[in-house]
Amino acid sequence: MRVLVCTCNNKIKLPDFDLGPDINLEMHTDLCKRKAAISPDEKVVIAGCSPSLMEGLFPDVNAEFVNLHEHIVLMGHSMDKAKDLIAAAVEKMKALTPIKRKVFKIENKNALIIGGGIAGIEVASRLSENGLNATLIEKAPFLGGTVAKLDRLYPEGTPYSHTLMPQIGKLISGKNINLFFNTEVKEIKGSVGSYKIILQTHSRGVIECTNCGKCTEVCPIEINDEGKKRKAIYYVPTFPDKYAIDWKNCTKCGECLKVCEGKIELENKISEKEITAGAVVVATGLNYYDACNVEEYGYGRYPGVMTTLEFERAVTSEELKPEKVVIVYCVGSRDSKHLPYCSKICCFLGLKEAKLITDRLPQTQVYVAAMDMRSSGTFEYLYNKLRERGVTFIKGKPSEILQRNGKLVVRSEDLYTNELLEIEADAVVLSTGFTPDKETFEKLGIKLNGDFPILFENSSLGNTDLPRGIFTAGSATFPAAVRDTLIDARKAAFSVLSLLKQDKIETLQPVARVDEDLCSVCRMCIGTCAYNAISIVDDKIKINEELCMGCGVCTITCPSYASQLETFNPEAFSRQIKSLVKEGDILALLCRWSAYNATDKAAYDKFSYPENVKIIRVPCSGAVDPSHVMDALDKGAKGVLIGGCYPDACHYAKGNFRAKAREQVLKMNLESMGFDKNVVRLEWIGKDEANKFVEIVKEMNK
Amino acid sequence: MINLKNADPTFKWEIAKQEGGKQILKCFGCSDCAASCPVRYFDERYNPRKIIRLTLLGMKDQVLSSPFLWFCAHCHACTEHCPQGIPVAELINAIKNYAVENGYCPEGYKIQVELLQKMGRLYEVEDFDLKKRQKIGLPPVDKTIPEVAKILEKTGILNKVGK
Repeated sequence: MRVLVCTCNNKIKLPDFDLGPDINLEMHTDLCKRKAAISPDEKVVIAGCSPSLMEGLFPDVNAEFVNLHEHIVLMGHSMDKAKDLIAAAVEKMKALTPIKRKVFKIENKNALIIGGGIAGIEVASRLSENGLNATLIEKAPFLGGTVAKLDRLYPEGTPYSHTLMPQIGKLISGKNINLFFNTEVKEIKGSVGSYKIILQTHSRGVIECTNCGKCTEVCPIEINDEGKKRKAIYYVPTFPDKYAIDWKNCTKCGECLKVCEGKIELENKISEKEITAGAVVVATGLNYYDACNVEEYGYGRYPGVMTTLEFERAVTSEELKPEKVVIVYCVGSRDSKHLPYCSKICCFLGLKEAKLITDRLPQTQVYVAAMDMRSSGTFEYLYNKLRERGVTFIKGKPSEILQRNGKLVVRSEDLYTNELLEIEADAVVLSTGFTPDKETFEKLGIKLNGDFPILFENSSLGNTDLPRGIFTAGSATFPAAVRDTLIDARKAAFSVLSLLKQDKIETLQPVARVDEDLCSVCRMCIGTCAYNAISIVDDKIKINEELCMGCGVCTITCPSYASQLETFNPEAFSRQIKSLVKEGDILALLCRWSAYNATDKAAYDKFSYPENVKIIRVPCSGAVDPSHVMDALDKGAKGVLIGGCYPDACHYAKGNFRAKAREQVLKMNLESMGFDKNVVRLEWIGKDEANKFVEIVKEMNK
Repeated sequence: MINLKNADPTFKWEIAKQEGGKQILKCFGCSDCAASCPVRYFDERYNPRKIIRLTLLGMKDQVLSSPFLWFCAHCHACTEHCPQGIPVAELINAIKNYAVENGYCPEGYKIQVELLQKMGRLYEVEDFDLKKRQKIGLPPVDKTIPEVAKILEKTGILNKVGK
């Protein structure tokens, strides 16, 4: 094993010392400039600047980093401590097997795009422009998704077709694009570069079509499709230019067959097809939350109560000419009984409907009852404009909607005036929240937290790339306005392009591995994984390399230590601690994403902490086992500090909550063993909270 | 309880037509005017936000007959604070003007107009005041200013306040 020590231009005077046989100590003057040649297959210890810098300089190595610069030199600590740190790191590396190089071959240059809405269309046409094959599947018989149901796109107010139709034109004229309608994903297998997908397709019913429209005239079944009346055989003016049968509602009476100039088959044939893809883009869009669930608003009971989409369609088809309209906000959204989150775009929709009606019928009195108006960005302009048009905004969520003398009565309190209000109206528009399409995510094996995929919960931390090879576009992960959807789709297309243009991905990112001899298949680890990376295959626990993020939480959960992270296994960690800790020391086990960075900052900000504070970097506070704390206490440590991210800020979704749970158990055990339970502390320390870290260790040292 | 059936939806447009009242529609109810108003420190019943919001809702009678409308001291603190650039003090003035035109003038204002008509000033000048002025070397002033009465007549304010 090699130990590379950077002397920082001879500023660090580390005396030669013996680390045992087979260990070569190498001194470098500046590792940061002359990158030392390190093969990815060898194990090394690198002592120099903070690992946050060294990791960037040596990205693909099997290394344990020792922070000589920030923890010793800047702190003014002695070189003996430096030796101890290096020796402990060597002990740890001895017990580790080198990280296995992971190679993902990108065999297939085809991308599967699920969802033929505006996001899916954009992704497919961009990929085609750049020479890739794209397979676009759409659940409905027509392209366009939600956008094709709308009338206008605000804040600009352009008709939906101005945006959608050129996109569709680009898509159908593009090369190497396969389109499947009435199609859903039945099953998906494989990994990045070689997904195998089984598609299930329902037949369209209309085989040949001249677009004469006679079938619709004779069809006896009338359906209210979100505010628009249509028949069981119908046409949406997007693409393809062909009628389609709605199998859910068709009674197969055969009336259409009699008048058809083309060819209709009244049988729903279900066919399956297997395709392969290198990457998958989820562009499944959004669903309107069912307003029937919000019973107090009487949707479904009172005919005048409608959703935004129904209102939009009724107004544009001139079926509805109301004199007084109330638009109710946050129907379902921000409601613990329904959707606990803000659906983000429904405020825009409410404003849009108010503009739509005042554009067409300026005499209409419009009231908007909202608990808050969240008109971000350019929508503020729309909000200002509508106020000047005389739309009355009421602050407060209506408690109920009643019907009295044939009129709808909305009951609310106006918080601006502190007065109870009753508004009589001809029409009440409910601006409902939105939910994503959970089913597709479940098929892809992506864990959900509530309604949304867990991977995207901490999107600010850059977790959006995993699992490798699956991307999202548009409203699939969170409701988005059309413009944002298009931006997101281009981002997804770019990500797919940069993935599929490679022949293989090679990485040394550590993942957890299971020792099958030790594993008793107790399944405890499965629940702890935030990424659904652990599953049972042939009665054995299997960890999916593409999904594993390397947090190490499962390694600690395993009662027989069968699951081990490549860079961090309980045995190696225990050896490191035993080698490092001496009588009267304080051991700080700090999360690499937050608390560890605070120690670097402490050095730059000229804080100082006692020399007996020994710091070890851990992947996550959730990866610290009570037995490691006991190891330190056995060696005579005065105290053990576990530093993690603040709640809800964990890089690995829920690791710090695991740490919290373990801390409680540990403290109980310590008390029963006669220790003072306060020798162990779990603290949330932010990346820049150097003072907090220093205060805590000083307090522990007293 | 306000039943908006009794509300007058044209009221806000009437106020918007008044001098200084045009910007009322911009109000989004942030309450900065109410928070910055010094009158409110002494009497919480005066609330410029509530007056504006009730006007927007069309509660004509409630706004115009409210005695609190007349509490405004015209210090313009609200105008300085308004994030939408509404000249709130002028707006309150506009509502006052509208109130007077529609026969909602409070008694105190009527008495003031009466005094102005009679003397041309609100404060009556007596011999005592003239003597005091003479003592400190100030020239005498007229006890009445008849031109003011003429102005009042020409502007028609007398009819408006119902005198």
